[in-house]
Amino acid sequence: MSKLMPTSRDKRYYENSTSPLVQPRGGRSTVFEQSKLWLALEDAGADILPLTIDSKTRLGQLESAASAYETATRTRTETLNGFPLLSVPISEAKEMILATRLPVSLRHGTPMAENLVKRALEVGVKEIEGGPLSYSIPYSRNADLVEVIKSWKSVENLCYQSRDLIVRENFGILTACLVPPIQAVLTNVLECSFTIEFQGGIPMASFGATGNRVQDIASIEAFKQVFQWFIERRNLTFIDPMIAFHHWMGPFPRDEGNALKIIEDGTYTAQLVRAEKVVVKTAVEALGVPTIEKNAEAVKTVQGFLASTDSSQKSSTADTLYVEEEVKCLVSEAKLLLEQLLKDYKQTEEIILNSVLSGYIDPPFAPHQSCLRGLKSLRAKDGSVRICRDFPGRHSENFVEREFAISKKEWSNSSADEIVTDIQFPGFDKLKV
Amino acid sequence: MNGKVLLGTCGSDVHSVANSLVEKCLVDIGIQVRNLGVAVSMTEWVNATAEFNPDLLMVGSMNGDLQPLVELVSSIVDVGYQPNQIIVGGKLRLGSDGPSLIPFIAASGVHVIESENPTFAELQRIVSSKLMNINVEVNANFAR
Repeated sequence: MSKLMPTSRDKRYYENSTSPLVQPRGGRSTVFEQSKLWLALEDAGADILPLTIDSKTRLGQLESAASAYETATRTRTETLNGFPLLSVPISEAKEMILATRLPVSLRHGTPMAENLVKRALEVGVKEIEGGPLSYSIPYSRNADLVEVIKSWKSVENLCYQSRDLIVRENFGILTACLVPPIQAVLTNVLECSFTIEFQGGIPMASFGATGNRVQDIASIEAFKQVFQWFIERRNLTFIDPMIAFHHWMGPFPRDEGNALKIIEDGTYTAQLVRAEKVVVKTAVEALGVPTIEKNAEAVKTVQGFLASTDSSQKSSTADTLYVEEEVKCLVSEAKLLLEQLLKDYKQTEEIILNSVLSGYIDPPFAPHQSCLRGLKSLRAKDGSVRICRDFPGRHSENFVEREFAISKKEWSNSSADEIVTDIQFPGFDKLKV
Repeated sequence: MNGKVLLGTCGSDVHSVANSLVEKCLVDIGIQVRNLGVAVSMTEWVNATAEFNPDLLMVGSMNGDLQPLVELVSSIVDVGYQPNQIIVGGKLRLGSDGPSLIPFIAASGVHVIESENPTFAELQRIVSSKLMNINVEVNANFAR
């Protein structure tokens, strides 16, 4: 079967929306509980439904997942931290998806995702998250990256073969902890171009709130510029990428009021950057897995906020200049690093693999043993995330000098407590939305 | 502070941030740490224990997947370690097994850090005091 590839204007159900579509998070142990969650989310105004997979299925511990699923259905208790798609009978999963009118997005974190994606597409999922970088190095310690890349090539092919046009969203947020914007830009560029090259569907880049809005806006703008350049540089057909913006994914405060401020802040940024989708958090993140009610409440809050907020007001001149400067630095650095990769490697698979092995992609706190773990970052006074150690020195002198100058911190002199402080959302009491 | 700690998560837990920070906080007070990382298999834990010969083992769980943790404790005890040489912590109550398994783990003599957000100073204090007790026990055995 073959079909036309998406054009640069093809945005499916995103086409008619003037503000970001709202997608909550959530995966339950059984069809019954997942359906209950979806019903509540749909009632609350969700635009896209989540199908978050449990951690046992993600890691291929299928016997253990199947046994927990069996217990969950028998005892009607939650035994897993997500939906065990590979343990649930296909007909039941299909029926569950058919019963909703909303598109469903698969969220997993599976490095070798071929089987899971095959099942997801079979049962009617419309959006597939992940990629060879973003679903391997933050989610696995030792998955063989060569095999991971092969598996994601198969994923793109499965999406291509699907009768629907699939939204291929990646996960540029990576470890979600002190990830320097340049890492998110590079990952999003490489993964979206991977999707285009292997015709997986509509590429969707994803970014998350990092605690500094200027940096968040600049990262997305820089990505757009570098992506267009990279696609031309690789002689691929350009498809306008969509943007998913995730609310802050770091640790949440226990105080619901403060948590809400972080959620509103992220929603506002999603509006400002004209994201196609905002992936929402709840005000009770700090307390564990949110209940169905709290999940639904989060959707209502975000929809209410989107409806009542005007994001068309102009930013201050100072902010605009600051964003422009950030964009300029990120674009020039990302092009430099990608050009270096292109000089050394020709095949896409080689480029992706060596972006990690050579240390270009090296997000702080990534568990994968192939990561060099030489890039460290901390938070500057203005809340921005800045590189404070660059080993073995992949970045240009100008770029790191600027980062060091803004950060004014040294990794080796920072205690674990200071790093934890920098991991938290900075100054939520001063948030302006 | 002298002492060797073997650190990691097990089962399906891939949370690496807390794991890296615990390593840093122990290294900061001079403890020799071998960090196995995340989602470490039972075999890898047992082999690393035999090879590194740690004074303490610290197993974290940020997703509350406790069944593999219980099995790990049992394997470590099988190779000759005392339950009180094992410290577990993290978001232990996140999974459905928490309420039944946490008392079971604690009753076996394993040190369970129940607080989800201990400060690093607390963590350093717990580990230091454990290491001191173990060294005292070792010295007492030598004296006999």
